[in-house]
Amino acid sequence: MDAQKKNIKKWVIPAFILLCLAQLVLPIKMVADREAVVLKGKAFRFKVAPLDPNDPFRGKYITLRYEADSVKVKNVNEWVRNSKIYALLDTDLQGYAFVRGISASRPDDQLDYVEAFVTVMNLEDKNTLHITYPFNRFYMEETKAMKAEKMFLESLRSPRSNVFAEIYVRDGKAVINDVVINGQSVRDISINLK
Amino acid sequence: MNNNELKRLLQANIITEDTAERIREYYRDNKRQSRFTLSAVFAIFASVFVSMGIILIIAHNWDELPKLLKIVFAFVPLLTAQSLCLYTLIRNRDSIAWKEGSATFLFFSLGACMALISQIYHIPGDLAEFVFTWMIFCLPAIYIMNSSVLSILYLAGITWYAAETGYWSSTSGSALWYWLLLILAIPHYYLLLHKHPESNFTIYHNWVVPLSVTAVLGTLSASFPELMYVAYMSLFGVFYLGGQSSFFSSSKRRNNGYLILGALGTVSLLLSLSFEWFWKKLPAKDFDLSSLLISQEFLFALVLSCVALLFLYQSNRLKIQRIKPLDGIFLVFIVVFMIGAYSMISMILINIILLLIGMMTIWEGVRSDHLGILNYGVLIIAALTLCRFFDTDLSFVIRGMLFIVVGAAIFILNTWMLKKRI
Repeated sequence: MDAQKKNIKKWVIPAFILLCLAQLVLPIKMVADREAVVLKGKAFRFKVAPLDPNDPFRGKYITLRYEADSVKVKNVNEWVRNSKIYALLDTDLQGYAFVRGISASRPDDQLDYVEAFVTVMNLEDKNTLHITYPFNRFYMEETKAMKAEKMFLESLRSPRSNVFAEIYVRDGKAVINDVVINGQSVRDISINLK
Repeated sequence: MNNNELKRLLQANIITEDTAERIREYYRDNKRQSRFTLSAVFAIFASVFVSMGIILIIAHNWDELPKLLKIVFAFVPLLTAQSLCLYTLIRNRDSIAWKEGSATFLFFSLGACMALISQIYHIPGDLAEFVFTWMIFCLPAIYIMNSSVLSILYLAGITWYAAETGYWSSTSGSALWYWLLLILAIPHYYLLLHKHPESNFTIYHNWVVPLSVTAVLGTLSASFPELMYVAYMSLFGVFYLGGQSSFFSSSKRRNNGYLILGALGTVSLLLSLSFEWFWKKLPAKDFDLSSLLISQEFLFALVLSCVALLFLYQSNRLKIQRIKPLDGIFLVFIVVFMIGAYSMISMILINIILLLIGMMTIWEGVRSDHLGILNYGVLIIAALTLCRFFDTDLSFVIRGMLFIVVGAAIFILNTWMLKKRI
């Protein structure tokens, strides 16, 4: 019995240490992947579009919708709803990001692109395809959330305001770095509001 | 039993000194056992609360802290849990409280770590994918820590993943990975059944496993949703017949989730199919036989029916003269379903089958002198009567009389049975 117990112990500890390493590598890889995008990627400014005022906050994050959410295609019927696509990015004269084309396969690494999903097929307009990005949440500290929501909506309503999200892009992956309202980070503004 | 009572029995020469000592030993053992169980329960609950507390505190999303510090904080609970598990494996391997407590903590702290990193980098992610990764990385710990709480949490997690993929997400898939993940957890359950068939953890598994499978089977529904009724009926057949197999035969009825879910599931499904809506649209449906035969609904229905048939074959060999009312219902249903593709007569057949099941169950209750089974039979007939009230034009007087008959039957049968016992 004792010999059997010792035998069990022999494999259990190394196996557990292996599992621990795997469990640690998983979140570390999540961090490393995102850091690689922030450090080596290119920053784009995505203009934020007005939100549905009924559901701007779910819990402690802001849901972001971007103005650059549609692209001209030959025929929308060639694209499958909810399928993954790659949106090719470019910057306009004002310095904001826009989608200059989409591709079903991974584009050349020289280009700047992000993963996105086909959402709405506009049946009346056969040439406009709507897409959503997987980076549509900006988490905030819970105490600031309500104040930030109010301020955020007010500035979006004002025609002269300038709201954009700073997003780092590399090899199709994207990381939101900040949401900027009239030149100031949403985090700092909501601290001042306190 | 206290010491004074034992002394009195000794003085009256009812028991010998030897027997008295054995009785004392028995109660001492029992006390020790219950203390073990209690400390394990406290350890598990403490771990759950501490984990949740840590998750909530860090979920506050401390904006003032630099990103690096937030990342470090996200790893603290995971590293602590891993250290506690390692300590348990080296020093306290035999303590259920340590084993289950530290494993529970490990489960939640891994989920928390992943969630917090997602929050720091604003990764919305796909919830199903998140749960899937979380469960995969917890699975080996079930075996390494030999933890049953972890196994139950894992089963709950994979059920959540399957429901998220199959029912709730906009891009509904069939969550086929669930079945592989389930199979990977079975060896632990098998060992539990084999080594500790009466333990609480085994009983929880006896309920969690069939509930999880029942919840997830529906995600397979794709091009031929009607076939899912056959698949479900066979699944309940597998549960009901499997619940009577030698693995579970010693456990009490309420501890046998398979038997109860099988019996309740079969009858509920039949009751829902005793209405005409299903049979009205079934013949109208144009089945493409070749694509039907390769559909996942058909394959799962076929596999489940074969397993149920295997169980039926085994159980009948053991007690050929004592066939129970629900034993072969899944087979009968397959025939009724096929007839239903051509004719509405299946609806009437389902009603007759339910009536027969009800009557046979009452008879079974009388024969085995079991009030629960007897009343279950009466309940089936009462439910069938109630269902027919919804889609027939019977007058209130007849409906009222039918209710009185059912009520009187319950009263008379129970009184008769109780009298027979005295």
